[in-house]
Amino acid sequence: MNAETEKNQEIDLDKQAELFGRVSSGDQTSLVLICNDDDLATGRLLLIRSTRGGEERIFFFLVLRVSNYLKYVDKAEDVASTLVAFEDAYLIDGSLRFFLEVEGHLLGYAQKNKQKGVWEFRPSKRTPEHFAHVYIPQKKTAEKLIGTLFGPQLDGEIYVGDLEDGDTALPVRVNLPVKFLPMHLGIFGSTGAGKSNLMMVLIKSFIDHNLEVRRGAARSRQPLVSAFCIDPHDEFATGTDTYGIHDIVEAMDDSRRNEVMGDFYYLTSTIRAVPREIKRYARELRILWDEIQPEDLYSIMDFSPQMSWFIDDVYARVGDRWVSEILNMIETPQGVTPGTFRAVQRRLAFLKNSDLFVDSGASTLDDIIYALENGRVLIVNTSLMSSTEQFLVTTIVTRTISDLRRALKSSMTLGDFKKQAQERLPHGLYQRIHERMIALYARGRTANDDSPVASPTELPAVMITVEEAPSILNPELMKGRSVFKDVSRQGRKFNIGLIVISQQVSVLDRVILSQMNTQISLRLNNKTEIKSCIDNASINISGYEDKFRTMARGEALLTASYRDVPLPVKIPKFDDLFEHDKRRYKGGTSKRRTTRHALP
Amino acid sequence: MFPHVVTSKFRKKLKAVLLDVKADFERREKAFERDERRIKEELLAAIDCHPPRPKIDDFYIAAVDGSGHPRVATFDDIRVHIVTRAISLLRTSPDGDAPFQEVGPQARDAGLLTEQPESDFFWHSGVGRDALEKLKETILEFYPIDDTEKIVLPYFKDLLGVSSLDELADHSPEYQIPNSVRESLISDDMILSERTLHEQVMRVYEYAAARQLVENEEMRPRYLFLDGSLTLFLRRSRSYPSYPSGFVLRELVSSARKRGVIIGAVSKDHTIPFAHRIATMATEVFPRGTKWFCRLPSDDDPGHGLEIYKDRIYIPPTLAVTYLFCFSPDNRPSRIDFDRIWWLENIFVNGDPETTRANEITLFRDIELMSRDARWYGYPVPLALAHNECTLTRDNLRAIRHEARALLREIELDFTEVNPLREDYNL
Repeated sequence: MNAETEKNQEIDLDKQAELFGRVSSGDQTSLVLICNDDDLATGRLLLIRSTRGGEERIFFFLVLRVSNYLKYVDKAEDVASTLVAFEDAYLIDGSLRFFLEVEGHLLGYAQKNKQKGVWEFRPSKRTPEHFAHVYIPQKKTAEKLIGTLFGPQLDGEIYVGDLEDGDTALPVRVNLPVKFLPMHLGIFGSTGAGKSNLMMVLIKSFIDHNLEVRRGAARSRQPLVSAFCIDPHDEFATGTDTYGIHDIVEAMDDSRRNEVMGDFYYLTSTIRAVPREIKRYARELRILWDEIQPEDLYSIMDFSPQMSWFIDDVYARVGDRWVSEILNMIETPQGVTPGTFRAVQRRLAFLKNSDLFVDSGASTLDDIIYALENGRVLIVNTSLMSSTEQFLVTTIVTRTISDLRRALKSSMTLGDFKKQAQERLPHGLYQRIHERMIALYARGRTANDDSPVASPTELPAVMITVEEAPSILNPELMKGRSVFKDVSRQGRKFNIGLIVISQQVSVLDRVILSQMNTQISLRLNNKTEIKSCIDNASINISGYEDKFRTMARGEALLTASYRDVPLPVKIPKFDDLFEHDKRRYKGGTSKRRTTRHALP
Repeated sequence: MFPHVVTSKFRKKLKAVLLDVKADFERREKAFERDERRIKEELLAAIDCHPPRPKIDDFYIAAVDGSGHPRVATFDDIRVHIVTRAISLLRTSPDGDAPFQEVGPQARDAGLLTEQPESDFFWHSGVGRDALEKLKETILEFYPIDDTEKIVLPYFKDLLGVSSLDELADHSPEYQIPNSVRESLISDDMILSERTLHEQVMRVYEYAAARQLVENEEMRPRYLFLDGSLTLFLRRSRSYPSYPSGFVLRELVSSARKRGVIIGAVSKDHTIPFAHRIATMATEVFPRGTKWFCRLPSDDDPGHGLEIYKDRIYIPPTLAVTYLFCFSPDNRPSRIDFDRIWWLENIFVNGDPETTRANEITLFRDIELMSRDARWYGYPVPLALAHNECTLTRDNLRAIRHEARALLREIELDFTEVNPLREDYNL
């Protein structure tokens, strides 16, 4: 460690924070503090200095409950009722005897590594000594203080929000590492909790990250991030208030836009309904019946074993044309009961009436796959689609990208890959995409059949959003064959992650939930949902029930299996974030200083 | 459970005692009936209270309270006592929500409240006059007057009007004090129980703090409250205090009077007979919620003392004036004692009961204003604050004993047991 870094790690709580109270009681997970009678909100982060065992440690304490404590008064209600009953009653010099009793959780502690001279964060396995001093970070020094002590808990390339401190935010950025995105992300919150804004912030962060990577400035050369973002209310592009993702697109110069966003980013079922300014970057979403596989439908609808057997049989006989084959059947085929036959036809009938799923014509699926494999963000306006259409589109894209990555993972050469991809993908789709994709998957400059292929982890991390998740990620559908079940379990291998968005947690399949290694929980009002959210969190957040109820719009709790502590996060309004950052999308090189650019 | 409680023999014995008590009470009830009219018409008075946010002069008010324990450590017949004391000092606050506010940093700058609460220790063994010798040394160490004759004199000065102790020779034998008392406040034949000894040290420790306040010119309080009463326990067949603290108290009261400090000793738990009946009478005489006081005259006052305490020689105490007061309908009446000399000079107007009453009302008006803190409504707030600061809890005592054990190890004294005797057998 060089001297500069060591200096940066210097912590002096007496100068950088304000002495606020003392530890009263508790254990290694939760404490009771007695603090100054000050304006303290739940969710605030306090620091506790400890020198127990001769080790210098600073504990992090999250305030979960604040109550008034009146010294020498056993029953405050007696005092209050006296004040009510006797109008001449007063209270002398309250500040000397009024305190706050503060309850909360120990998030962990930073311990000074004496040899390296750095602070290292550790999960809470200890408790501070009796009456240890409690400090409250000052706003102006919080960034350095928390950043130094909390460091690895906040690191990452994808900005989510700022570390929340009560009802305000500290200037400390909370990020997600790209490498953990394929371990899936759950976003849970009730209506109005700020899910749409959070999605827009995440989409912006993906774009920002991709910009940095393409500039060669992203830290540790992380891969690009692609996203297939379902937008059920058609609000991501134009925004919910003043700005939307489209403003980012417009803020870019042509070359940057082309590089980062490609020739389209917006998908819709009906292009004529798209605002003019967005239309230039829009594509009409079309998927051919041939590109649908039985598994896609099994993932979103309930089929009896007899129905599945019938569909699988037709698929085995006619291949990609299985949908039109069944829909065009007039007579009940041999070996199938009329009931089963009619039930399958009924389930597929929506395809006949769909503008999105067509029997013939041009498909956009290959463009979507190409865009995702190129590290691009796509916004899919599903506001004009039926739920079934929305789910099927999501499923087909997920399954297709998963099949390609699977083929890649099990191939040594491009020749192997082509063979495997051909087996997995619908014939027509494979024909359209394979030449375009070869160049992306080949490792090295040449792209012949003997060329080695890239590992999926070198390719962009593809994030698929699953909106209204309970409709397709419920335990019933998960019993059968489901694309999402596979991706949730194996997506990490193929660098594919799900972003599961839901107002309800309790109805989601437990297998899916157990795979959500990152969870961003927004405000939840329902007791059952809060309990499910707490039970499902990758780290222990029991005791946070009140926190969920008292969260304001845009406040969240971030838990992740790869982190030791739950992080309270204040998600900024997209409009504010864009206002702050819009200059960065203009031309020119990154202003961020890199070590490669530094003079020796 | 004590098994005899349920037996009829036990119940019979208890009932017999209670019947005795009843008979005694009924006898005294007649005394109250004789006093009733005088209490109602002459002694009981309603307070014309200050408004909620009154405009008052700028002045300080203070209180001192103390606590302690006689056995913080015991080794054979050696006892180590701890004594604590706390001062609360408040000043009028014309702009605040409350009419008074605590004085913190200023008081520290003036050498007051340097450590709150303060504590000290006292130890003695069972050897000969060891306890008496150590008591003498400790009193002189605590109290800021070195000359014992200067401590003894104020009592006699206030009582007999003498200007030196030598003048006592002109008075009757009951006022003749032995040289040992002149020299050390303690007579040679004094027998002190452990409890009395502790009480003496504790009282003097408190009075010493009060004396500091009286002496302080910068923040000298107008009112200074003590916990308890101004009772002086007098020696049998003699007319001077039995214990050193009595002389010290009179020295304190005398010096306070000279410096314009009004001393009031307040006890919420007291033994004034028929206090409850006087309180009931007040609710009958005055409108509901009226704050009131009642003087308990002595035999030296016009109309003499009341029948109800005729046989209580300490009510009112020698050289003191006693009142009952009640500032809240939720509380029982409390007792307050004032220095009689101060009272004669400032409250009592000879031959003019109306002006005397007006002076009393003015006095209690101020005290009532000081007793409106919602935490202790009806009780003077400086005393409540001081009390809370000095009180030793069971936990405090445990921590002190723990520290004593550690120190014993440190100084390698071969006593490891600092707990009270026989605690190990739980007897």
